[in-house]
Amino acid sequence: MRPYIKFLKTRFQSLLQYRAAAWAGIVCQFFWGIIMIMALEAFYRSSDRTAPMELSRAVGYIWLGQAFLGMLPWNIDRDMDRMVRDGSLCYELLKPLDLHFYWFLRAFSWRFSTMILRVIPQLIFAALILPMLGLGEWALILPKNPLVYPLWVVSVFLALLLSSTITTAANITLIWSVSGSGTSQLLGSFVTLFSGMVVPLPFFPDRWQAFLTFQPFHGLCDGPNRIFTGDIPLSRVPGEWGLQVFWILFFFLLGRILTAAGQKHLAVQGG
Amino acid sequence: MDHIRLYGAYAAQSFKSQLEYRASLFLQMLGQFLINIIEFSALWTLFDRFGNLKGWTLEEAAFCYGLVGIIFALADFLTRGLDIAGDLIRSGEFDRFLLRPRSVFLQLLGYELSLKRMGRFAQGAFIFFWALSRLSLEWSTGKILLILYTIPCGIAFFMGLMTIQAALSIKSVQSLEFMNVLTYGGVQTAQYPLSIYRNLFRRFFTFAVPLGCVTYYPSLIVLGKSDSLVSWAGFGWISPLAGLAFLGLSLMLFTRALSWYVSTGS
Repeated sequence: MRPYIKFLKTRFQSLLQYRAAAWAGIVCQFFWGIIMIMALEAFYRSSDRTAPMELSRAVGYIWLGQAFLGMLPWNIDRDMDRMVRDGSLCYELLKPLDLHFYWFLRAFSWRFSTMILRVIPQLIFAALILPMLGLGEWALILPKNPLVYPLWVVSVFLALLLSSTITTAANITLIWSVSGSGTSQLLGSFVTLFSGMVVPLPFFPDRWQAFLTFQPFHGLCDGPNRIFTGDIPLSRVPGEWGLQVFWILFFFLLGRILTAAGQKHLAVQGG
Repeated sequence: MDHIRLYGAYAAQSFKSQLEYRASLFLQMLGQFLINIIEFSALWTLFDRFGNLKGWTLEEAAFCYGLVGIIFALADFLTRGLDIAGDLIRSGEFDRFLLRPRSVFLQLLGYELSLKRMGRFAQGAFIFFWALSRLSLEWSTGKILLILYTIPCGIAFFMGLMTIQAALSIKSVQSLEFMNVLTYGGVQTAQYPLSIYRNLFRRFFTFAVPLGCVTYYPSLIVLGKSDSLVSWAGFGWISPLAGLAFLGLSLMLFTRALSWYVSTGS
């Protein structure tokens, strides 16, 4: 286990360097969140139809989505793309480590560090600064029941694992395609739509809801966010975890199969 | 005249180099098209739930959405060089632009005309014409001309934003991602009718950063709607000119910034 832990540590140190870019991203996200909330607010005010969740919960959902945006598996690892292109992937093969698990940790550290840089400023802004600016109705409301917090944290951690297994599996498909931009774009659009980043999933037509709950991307963002806002009652939380664990195992195994197949397929060209 | 010839040569060269990788280019365009269609599903979903947005129907909102999509895609297509000016400056490559006895702005514009943005253009046009086919609008020559002239004005507006970004990059020797708040954030804002936002926000995007002037107010005239912020009904006929003025001001800033330029060396 020691080489894996050492590897995680150095990865974190190097990834946490990108603070300036993170700040620019955070400002964009505040803006995006506020636009989305103003639009939702206007929709709520223009219609008498019952909405699938209260506005305050939808607002909380939007902010949590923005806070944990960095964690979503919306793209592939550019370094992996480069390694496949220039052939330095063979150094990876030489390492006396379990290749798939090592790539999984690589993805995990990447998602975790991009997430952690953004979470704290985003949550402070949404939960504390907005009410101070007199925009309390746009703020993230913290749950009153203290039990929600630990249950939610578990669900966020599972979401992080799920994101990392999806990223790993997607990264491995690079072995078969020369350019990663196609995979990346398609993955990105599916993930943002089906995780609830574009619009909270409960707003989609009711007849789609069963499908939307069981598809893998629900556990990335929609599930944890709705546990926090109280839209999913505590009694249903274990079921949510179960779904997440199922998809984590699914993508983990898929990744292992792809790695095994990819190693056979891989041809290193000269150099 | 000479400038136009030079720009034409840059454009031709840029197209040639991008068409070398036809399959990849086509896939990227398709990808952009799909991503933006998926994004549109947000608007469709919310209208499906709520029926209307402050008196706007889905088709009317889609008109604005499509219009800003078309404008932004064309602007993005033309201004790739301005967008990456920060990277060129940091790598020192920008110095080469300064050595050539030609306008730096023109060289940046000619750096790349990004064909893959046409995927986004296709999506914007698709939604725009879908909206037109569903709306029974009373057209007049004036209204058609209004749409045709607001598009270049809108392109000028976004080009102005990119020019400011490039100017600030020259001054600060950094790529300035925070300008994305105004470019991408602006597109996001203009995808909904401006009337749904709070007044301060509407004033900002009308009088300070004239985004609404190039998309929202002309759309009001074509759609036969009115707005409470600017009560004068004819405003939309002349408001697109603000986009041109905005580009003019940002070019002045750009010229000033060039005189402050300090190379990064190397």
